[in-house]
Amino acid sequence: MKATLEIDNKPTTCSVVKRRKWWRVGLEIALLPCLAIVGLEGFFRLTQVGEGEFLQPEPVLGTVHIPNKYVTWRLEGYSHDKLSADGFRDVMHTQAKPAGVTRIALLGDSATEGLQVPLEKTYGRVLEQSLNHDAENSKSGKRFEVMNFGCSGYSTGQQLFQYERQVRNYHPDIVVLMYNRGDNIENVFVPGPASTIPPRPYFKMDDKGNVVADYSVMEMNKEKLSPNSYVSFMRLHSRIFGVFSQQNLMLNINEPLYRKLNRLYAKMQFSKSAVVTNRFVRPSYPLQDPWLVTTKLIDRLRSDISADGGHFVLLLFPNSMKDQEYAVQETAFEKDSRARGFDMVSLTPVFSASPDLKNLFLQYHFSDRGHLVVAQAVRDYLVNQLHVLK
Amino acid sequence: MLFNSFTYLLFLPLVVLLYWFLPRSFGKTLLLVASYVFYMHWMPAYGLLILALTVVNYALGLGIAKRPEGKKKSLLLWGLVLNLGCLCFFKYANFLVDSFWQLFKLVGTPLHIPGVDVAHSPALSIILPLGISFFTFEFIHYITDVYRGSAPIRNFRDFALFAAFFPSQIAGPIKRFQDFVKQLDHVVKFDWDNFNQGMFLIFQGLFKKVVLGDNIGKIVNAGFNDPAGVGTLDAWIVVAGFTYQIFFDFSGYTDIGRGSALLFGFKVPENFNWPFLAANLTDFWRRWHISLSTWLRDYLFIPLGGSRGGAWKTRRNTMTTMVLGGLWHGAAWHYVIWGAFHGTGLVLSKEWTDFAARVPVLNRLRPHPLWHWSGVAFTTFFLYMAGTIFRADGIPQALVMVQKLFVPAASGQVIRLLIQSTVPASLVVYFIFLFWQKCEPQLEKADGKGLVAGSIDWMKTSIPLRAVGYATVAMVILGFAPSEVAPFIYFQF
Repeated sequence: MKATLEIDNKPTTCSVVKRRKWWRVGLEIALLPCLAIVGLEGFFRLTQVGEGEFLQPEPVLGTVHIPNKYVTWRLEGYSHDKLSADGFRDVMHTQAKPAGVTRIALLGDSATEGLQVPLEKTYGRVLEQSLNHDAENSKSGKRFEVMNFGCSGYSTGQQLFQYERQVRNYHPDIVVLMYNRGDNIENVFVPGPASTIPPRPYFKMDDKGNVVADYSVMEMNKEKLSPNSYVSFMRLHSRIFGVFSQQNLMLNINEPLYRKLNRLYAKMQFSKSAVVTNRFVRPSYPLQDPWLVTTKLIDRLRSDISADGGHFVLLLFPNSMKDQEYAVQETAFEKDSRARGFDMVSLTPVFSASPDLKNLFLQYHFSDRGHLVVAQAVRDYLVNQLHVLK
Repeated sequence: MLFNSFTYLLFLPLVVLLYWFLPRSFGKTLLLVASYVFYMHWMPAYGLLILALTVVNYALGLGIAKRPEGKKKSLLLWGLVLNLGCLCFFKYANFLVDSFWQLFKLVGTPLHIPGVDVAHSPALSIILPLGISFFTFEFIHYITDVYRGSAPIRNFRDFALFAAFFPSQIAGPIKRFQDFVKQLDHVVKFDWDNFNQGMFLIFQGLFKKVVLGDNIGKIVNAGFNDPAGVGTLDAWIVVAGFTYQIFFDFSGYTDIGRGSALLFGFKVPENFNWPFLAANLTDFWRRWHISLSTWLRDYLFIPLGGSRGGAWKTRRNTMTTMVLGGLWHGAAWHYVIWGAFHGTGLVLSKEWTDFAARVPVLNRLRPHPLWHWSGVAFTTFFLYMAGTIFRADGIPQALVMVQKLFVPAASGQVIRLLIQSTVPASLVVYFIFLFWQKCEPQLEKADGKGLVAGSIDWMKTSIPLRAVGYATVAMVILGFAPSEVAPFIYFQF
C-alpha cells in the first residue's frame, strides 16, 4: 500500500546554526526571561487573566480579602470588580454611620460574597437599591446601606470573629447571617491528612458548656499566616503569581495525583516536628459535635449583636438539592428560632416555588437571577416582618 | 490518561528519559509497557481486552500470510467479523436494542422480556472501551493489507506496539503498519531536530486544545444547553464555534500525539491540512481527519467499487461510505444523518463541479479567485450546518438551533459569554501565530537572513530563546486554561 507518511526533509538545526559568542548567550539568558516576564504581565493585565487571587492569610481569621485588589472571576460565572479599600466585596462604607441611615450587614461565605456575578448584581447591592426605592416611594425619609462582609470559605466561627473584630465597628442595625449547607462541619477540627486542613480557627466546648476557640491549626501554620511583604506585593500586583495560584487550586481540585504529591510534601514538612505530627494524628480533646458547636456560635453572635443594639436575622441557603441532612438542620433552626425568639428566613420555599429553578444557580452558586430572588426574599421579610420602612 | 493532564506532564518526560537512557534493546519493550500503562490508567480491565484483540489479530495476520492464495479469504472474513463484532457489541449494542425498542413501541408491540420493565428500553450497561474504533480500524487495515500481499509483522512485541502506541492510541491518527514498522526497525539515534519539532507540536497542540478548544467549548455548551434561549447572533456564534472547537480539540490532540511520537523519533501521519481553506467538500475531506478519510477510501469506498462503476454506483458508494463513517462516530441516529448529510454534500459537490466544467460560462469563471473563495465560503457554511447536526443531542435540538439561525430573535447571553471569555484574545494570538507560520516558508525561499529571519524560523533560534518561548507559551496556556480539565471530543468515539 502507498505510504501516507510525509518525511521531513529540512536540514538539521545543528548544521545551520552558527556557534554563538559566549557574551551573546549570557545576554540572552539574562535579558530574555525579564522581557518574557514583563511581556506576560502586560498581556495578562490586558486580557484580565491571573486576577483570580483575592484572599490573603490573616493570623486570627485565617484568610481575609486583599484590599483594593482587582478581581476577575471566571471559574464560575464572571465578574470584574475591585475589592474595597477596607477589604470587602462591596462599595466603600465609612465606619461612622451617617445620620438617618439604617445599616444592614450581611455575613456569609462565597454565596454572599457573590464573585460569580458582577458586584451590582449581588443580593446585597440589589437589596440596598430595592429598600431605598421602597423608602422613596413610601416617603418614609429612611435610607438604607447594605454592607457585604461575605468571604469565601468562611465558617460560622470565622463570621463570629469577623463580627467581633470588624463588622461591629460599622454599627449595623440589622445583621443577616447566611447559613450554608455544611457550615457546621467547618467549625470543628476533624483529623485528617495534614495538607487538607485549611488554616482557620476551630471551636470546641469547654467544661462549662461555653464555646471556645482552638488555635492549634493556626499556630502550626504561623509562618504561612505571618505577613510577608514580598508575597503580599506579588498577590496584589503580579498576574503571573495569580496564574500559578489559580492553577495550584485547580490542580488540587481536579488532579488526584497532584493532591497526593501535595500531601506527601506536606507530610515531609510536618514530619520535621514529632510534636506537630502527633497533633495532626488526633486532637488533644474529644471529637466535637458540629451541630452543638455551631448553635453555640450562633448564640454568641446573637448576644454580641444584641449587646451592640442590633437585630439578628438568620438566612438559610436554599435546599434545592433536597439534602436530607440539611433538611434536618433547617427544621432544627426553625424550632430554635421559635423557641429563642430570633428571626429566621428560609430560602428553600421561595426557590422551590420558582418555575425557573435551574437558572437561579450557576454550578454551585447563585446566578444573577438567584441573587435577585434572595434579595427579594430578604427585602420582603425586612419590610413585612421587621417593618424597616416604618 | 489525557494529554492535557498533570499525570501526562509527569508520564511523558519520564518515559522519554527512560527510552533514551536505557540500553537500546529495552526501548521498544519500554514503549509497549508505557502504552499499556497509558491505556490502563483509565480502566485496567479493558487493557486485557486490547491485549486479547492484539493477540488474535497477530495470529490472524500470520495465518493469512501463511495460507495459500485461494484459502486466505475465509480467514480474512473471520477477522473482519471478529473485529467489527467487537466494535458493534461495545459501541452499537445499546443503540440497536434501543432502536428496535422504539420501533416496536411505534408499531404498538412492546418487546416482552422477562424481568424487564416494559415501559423502559432494556438498555445494557456497556462501557465503551476508549479508542475501540481506532484500534478496530488499525486491526482491519492490518489483516486486509496482509491479505492483499503485505508482509505481516512477525515479532509480537512490534505488532503489539503498533496497535497500542500511546501517542496515537486513543483517537488516532490511524497509522499504516508498513510505515510504522519501517521506523521500528530504523529508529536508533536521538535526533535534536525531531526533539525540537516534537516540543513545538506539543505546545502548539496544548494551546489549540486548552486555550482555544476548551474555552470555545464553554460558550458552545452554554448555547446547546439552552437552544430555545439563544438569539440569532448567539446561534451563529454557537454553530460556528462548535465547528472550530472540534477542529482545535482534535487537531490539538493530533499535534500533541505527533509531538510525543517525535520525542521518541517516530513520525505519525498528519491528520489536518488547513481544512477551512477547502473550496469544496471533496477537498475538505482530503484535509480533515486525513487518516480516517484515507482509511474509508482504501477499505470501504474502493472495495465497494469506488468510482469505477458509473455515476450512480459512485453516488451509492459515496453515500454508503459517508453514512457508515457517520455511524462510526457514534451510536445515535443524528450521527447517521450527519454522515448522510456529508454524503449528499459530496455527491452534489461532484455534480456541480462536473456541471460547471461542461457549461462554458461557468468554466471560464472557475480559475477566478472569486470562484475559489465563494467555494470556501459555501463549504464553511455547509460545515456549520453539518456541525450543528453532529453536536446536537438529537435531531429535534438540531432543528431548533437551525431555526434560530434564520428566524430573527434578540441575542445576548452567548455574546456576553464570548466577550467575558478569553477567546477573543486567544484568537488574536492564534492568528498572529498563523501569519508567522505563513511567513516562514516565504522567508526560507527568499533565503532571508538576519535577526528577523532567524527569529521567524523557530527551529533555527538559540536554545535560550526557545526555552523562554516555550516557558511563555506554557504560562499563557496555564493562564487561559478553563477551570475543568476537559477530555478530548474524539475520545468518545
